[in-house]
Amino acid sequence: MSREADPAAPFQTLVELCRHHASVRGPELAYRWLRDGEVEDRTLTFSQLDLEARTIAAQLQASGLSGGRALLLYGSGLDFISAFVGCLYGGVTPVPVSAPRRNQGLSKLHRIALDSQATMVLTTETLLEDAHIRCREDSVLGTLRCFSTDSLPSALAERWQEPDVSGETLALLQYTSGSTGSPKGVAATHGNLLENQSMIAEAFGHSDETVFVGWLPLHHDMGLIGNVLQPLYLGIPCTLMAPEAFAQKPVRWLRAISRYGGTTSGAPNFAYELCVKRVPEERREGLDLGSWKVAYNGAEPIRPETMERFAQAFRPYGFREAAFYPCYGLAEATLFVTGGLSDAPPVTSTFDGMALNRRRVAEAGDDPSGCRRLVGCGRPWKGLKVIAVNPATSVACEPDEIGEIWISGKSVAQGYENQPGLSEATFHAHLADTGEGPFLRTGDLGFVRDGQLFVTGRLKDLIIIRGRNHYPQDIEWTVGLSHPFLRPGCGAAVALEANGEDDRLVVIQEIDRKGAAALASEGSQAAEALSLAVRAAVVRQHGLRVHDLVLIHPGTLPKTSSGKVRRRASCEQYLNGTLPMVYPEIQSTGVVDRQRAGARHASHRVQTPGES
Amino acid sequence: MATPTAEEIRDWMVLYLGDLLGMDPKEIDTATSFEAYGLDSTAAAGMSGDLGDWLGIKLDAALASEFTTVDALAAHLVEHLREEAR
Repeated sequence: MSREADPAAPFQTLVELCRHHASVRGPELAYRWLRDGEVEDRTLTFSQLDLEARTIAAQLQASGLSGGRALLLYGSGLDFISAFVGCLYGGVTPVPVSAPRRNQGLSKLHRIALDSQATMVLTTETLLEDAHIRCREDSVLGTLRCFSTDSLPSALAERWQEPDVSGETLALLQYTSGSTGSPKGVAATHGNLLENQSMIAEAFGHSDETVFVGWLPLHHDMGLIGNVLQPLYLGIPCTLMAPEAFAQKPVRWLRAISRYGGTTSGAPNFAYELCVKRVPEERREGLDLGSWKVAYNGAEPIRPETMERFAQAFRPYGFREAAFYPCYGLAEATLFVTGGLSDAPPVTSTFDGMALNRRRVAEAGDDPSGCRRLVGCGRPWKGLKVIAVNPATSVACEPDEIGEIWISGKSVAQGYENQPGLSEATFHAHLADTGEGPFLRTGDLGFVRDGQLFVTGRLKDLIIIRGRNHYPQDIEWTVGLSHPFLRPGCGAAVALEANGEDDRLVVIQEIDRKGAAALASEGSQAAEALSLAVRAAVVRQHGLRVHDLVLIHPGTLPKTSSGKVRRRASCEQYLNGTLPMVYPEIQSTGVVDRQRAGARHASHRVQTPGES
Repeated sequence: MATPTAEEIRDWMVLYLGDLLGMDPKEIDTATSFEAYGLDSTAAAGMSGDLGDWLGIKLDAALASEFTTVDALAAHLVEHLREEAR
């Protein structure tokens, strides 16, 4: 018989929870790691995890580091999980970060170390030497204590002392890709994490028979809160592989679900799309997706076309459309915010596209070309409140009005570390007329209809591609510095929605007079050199492909009177073809041209001419 | 399959990239970096997976970040295949 969904309600902290699992189901499998996404490499039972965590915690306690913050610098693998739990056992706040690749600088790590006031770096033996050499050169990172957590003698565990922590103790600083110079660390307590876990368990219909499979990066909110902590919360097994293993061969994800009878597994929309494209029929043989009950889809816009294509491709292999679980969440609310009933099929509704562009909700008219299909992201759970609010007046929206999504409840995080002003504005909003609050302002736009939350876009100019947030100003900064002919501060990065596929990045950038002269004399060769420099820099710094680069004359980028880039106006001019391009006849640089990339501007839903 | 030559591996990659990027394979310069063609890490990992399948060997997902052009990657793979054959 299966247990009820809320096994851990009596626990105040994750430390109590882990200790409990170690005592009642110690020898049971907690995590299994698949090397190359295929080969069983390492496993951790609940008691092994507890032992490793006590060992790491004892080392940190003996070093006098309790109460501090630790950067968790790990490659893909289970060592990250032991270190995360080890920090909590040691009364240390974990700060998960991605290990910088060799060709990436340390600037991001440097800023996070500074902002989080970390006093230590936890890593593995293999990464330690490299981390040491690279960090030594850095003014901040060089001062941190470095520990490799995978080579500590387990005898240390005897010396572990239970930390003095409560539900109000900080349990995680989750850094989101902040804009240049200002990383934002979302501060979540043990109470926040447990409340969110309890919501996920109830909404996803989880029990002790749930089996997790996943490949999302463990240092990201969805990988950590979803794939690492939810199995730990439930006390059930989870099979994991590296994101690179999935990217290399997406079929590995589906094979792992088949092999281990996964019941819950999910990813942002792009991953489902990648499976359709990169797992052709001949590679589907032997798949058995009948066990899959919750295929969650979140963190980036959810496309009905993707779900249809995926269901069609994998229905013959046991996949049920009702398994799709569209959901909405963000790190500022710990992670999960809304989702549907786990056994119901996803809700897709059709609305009047023109009305949506004006932030109004209306049923679709007779003209099918003017319709827009949106996927419902379900409803809030366990007393969380989600409303749409007019962002200009801070008054709750009418039912037919689109507004900013505001949230209040116990899993809303404490704020951004070290940013009192921004935290106050983001986490402590109140309705202007009733004074109700505090609410978290999400920056996302949407509306609630028939109990479903529909997300229509982003209030901020946030660019979201493949589930990752990119601030346009970061990309513009990179572009401006990528070639001497380009004018820093005079570029706009915008995302275009492309028929049911990932959003596409378009960069509009001013060149200087020397650049204009070079283009005039050397023509396409100079344009090509500029294009290569920009594309290479953007891939290196942001992992993004520039789909179209438009070079414009100096002083022509739309800006406000105070000199701020007007991205929406820039995007409109781009779509109308009215940007003052430098020698348009030689700018055939876009891999995808405007017609093909065309469609709507993702953030602002600008319509292209000819498209209704 | 007989062990492919560097030229055959280059040809495979050029066709693959042309298809992926929507470009005429003739336009792809084998000495230009994958980054410059805008290949992101997911796409680069995907290429290593498909290339490994074609060659019948296991390739590291991050290979294209170490050998950053068609020429460099092909040269590395020929050497790698030669060592495997020994």
